[in-house]
Amino acid sequence: MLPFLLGGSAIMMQDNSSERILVNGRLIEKLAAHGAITAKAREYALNALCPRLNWGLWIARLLSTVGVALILSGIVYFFAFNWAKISPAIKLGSLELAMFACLIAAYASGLQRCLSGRLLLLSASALVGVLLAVFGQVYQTGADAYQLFMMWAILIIPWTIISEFTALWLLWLGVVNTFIILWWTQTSIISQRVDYTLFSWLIIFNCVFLGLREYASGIVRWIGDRYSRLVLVIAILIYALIPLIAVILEEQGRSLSMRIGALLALGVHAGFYGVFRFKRPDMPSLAAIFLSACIVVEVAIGKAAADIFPRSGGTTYLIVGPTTLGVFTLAVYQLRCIGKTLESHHG
Amino acid sequence: MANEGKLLTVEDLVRGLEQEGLLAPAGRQAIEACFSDAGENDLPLYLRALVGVGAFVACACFVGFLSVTHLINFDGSGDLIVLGLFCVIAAIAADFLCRHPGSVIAQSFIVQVSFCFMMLGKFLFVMGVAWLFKYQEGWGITIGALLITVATYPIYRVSLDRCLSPLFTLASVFFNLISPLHGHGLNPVLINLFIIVQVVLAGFLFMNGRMRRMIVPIAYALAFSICIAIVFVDFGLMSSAQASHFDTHIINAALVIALITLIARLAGSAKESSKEPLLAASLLVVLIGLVSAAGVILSICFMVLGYGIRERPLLLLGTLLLPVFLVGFYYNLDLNLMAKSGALTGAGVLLLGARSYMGWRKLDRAVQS
Repeated sequence: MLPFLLGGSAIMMQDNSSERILVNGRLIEKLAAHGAITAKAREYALNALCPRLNWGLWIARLLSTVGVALILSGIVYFFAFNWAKISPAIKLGSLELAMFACLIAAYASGLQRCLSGRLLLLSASALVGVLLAVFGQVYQTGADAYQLFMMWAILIIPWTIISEFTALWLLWLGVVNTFIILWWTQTSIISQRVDYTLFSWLIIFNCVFLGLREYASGIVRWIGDRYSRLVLVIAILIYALIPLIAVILEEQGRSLSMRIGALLALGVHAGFYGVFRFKRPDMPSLAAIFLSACIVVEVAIGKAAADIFPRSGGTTYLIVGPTTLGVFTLAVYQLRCIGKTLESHHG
Repeated sequence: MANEGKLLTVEDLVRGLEQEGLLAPAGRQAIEACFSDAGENDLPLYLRALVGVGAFVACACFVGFLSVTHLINFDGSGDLIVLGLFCVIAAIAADFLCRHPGSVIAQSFIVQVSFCFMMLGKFLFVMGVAWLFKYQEGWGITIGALLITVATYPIYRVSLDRCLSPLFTLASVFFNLISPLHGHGLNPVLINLFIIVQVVLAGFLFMNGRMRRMIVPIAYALAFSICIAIVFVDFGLMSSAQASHFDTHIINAALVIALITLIARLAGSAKESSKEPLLAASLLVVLIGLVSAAGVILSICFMVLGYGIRERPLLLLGTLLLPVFLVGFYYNLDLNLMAKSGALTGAGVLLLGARSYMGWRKLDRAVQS
């Protein structure tokens, strides 16, 4: 029997070897709460785990971040107040000036080791979108919104590539996703046959980038953070849920695109499970997958119960309630087992 | 909390404590004995979230079932109270069952069932008690919630329930205080007092290094309750009758004092501060309190507290709330855009000035351990 400890980062092996158990803050608090260590020992342990609180450094960073954010907001309010009075040249010129200032500052700071340099490049990339919007407003180009996002995405590709910054990649992906959605809704002639094709495209596009991310993470050092993976997984699962739920709820109007989207979604769930369970084990991603699967199962069971007992809402509730408990229990149980297995492999 | 900084094993920790003379002779055994206790509170956060979602959905289904089938009279307090208590007792019994060793799947199922029944039982009980207080259902809800929370808190170990139940009670008190149905003259006083008492209590519970883990959920419930109250105060969500009598300066002053006290205790205990930085920080806090909103000061309190006592959820809460309250504050300022621009820029310059001061005094350097 392997006792499972809070936080998921410590586990006792069968031989109870304390040489293999890693300490974290929660474990220290637990030891203190149980009286196993004194308050002084707790303080010592926390300092050993996370070296001295650097108040000065932390407060300095906080003051810089909030101060800069407030000044930028003040500038935005200034422009908002004077917008009607500002000439087009100044509107466009000031944005271009701000963008170039960010770029020069990013160059001066450097991108490799300095976070501020990458943040400045991110700011410059965001300003490109603002510049395009103002350009469209000033010159009344009549361009559709999807064209703005398309140009924005194209223009910031070089910066995104050289930035080596996950946040900028996520911004770029967000812009591209928005472009795809707007292009689909604004230009495509959507018949019932193809109404759910959008979700299939979004799933495929984002899966490609997730695959690239996973492939590159083994080679490129800066793609190490897990939050980018989780963001992509959650986004893809949301896109996958829509055709899946639609195909369950629609009785007669199941278009071909809906069925294809649903099949693709099932494949995504299965594929993600395989990858994040065996190839690239990751508990948060697995938890998201299981939650998504639970939602699908719940909808299916609810729909089936409502169909079988159309005039008996009480029976429907009576079936769905305990079934929910069972479904989520299985999900939690499976995740706990997987977690234990993964930790025993890594311990 | 995930591991921060370097990797440290239990053996390293024990050896270090022994070398420093901080470990009692039986300390090693006491540490190892702690590892054998496994239960709901040992589930990672994402699993607890999954348990919570499942239990909530199931609870909603059972309420729907009871409502649709008219098995109980939702207008009668007796049925609701009795059934509610029955469900609560069943939940506690299930929780006790969980504590005995058994198969993991059975334990997972029982935890879910237990939490579901506890939510259902509390909902029915509170509704039943509320019906007893005709024309004062709001306070009936508060009393019902308080009774059931006090009764179940020592016994029922699920941390999510231990946080949500007191939070619901505190929130119901606040909503009753701001309700236009109640008195008009006294309530601003009561609201201020209520918020201040929560601030003091939350500060005490979080700062008490010996606080037992059993009390931690209450501390978080207080923190969330204060957030709810400050959102209503800062975003002007109270009725116009209440808002016209309400003076936010008292709460601002209380939060400023709380923040200065926090800085003095936390930064002082780390032995990195001298009088001058502490005075400078206090002056800056007072200035922020004069020109800013209560929510901004509250967010900074959470961030300082979370950083000082290494409670990441608090630090994250403060970090997420700060932009929300800043945006809300400036959006609701009764000034034109130009004046707002000046206020924002001025505040930003003030903070960057403080930052420059720290750089000039070399207070922004990392301390090597």
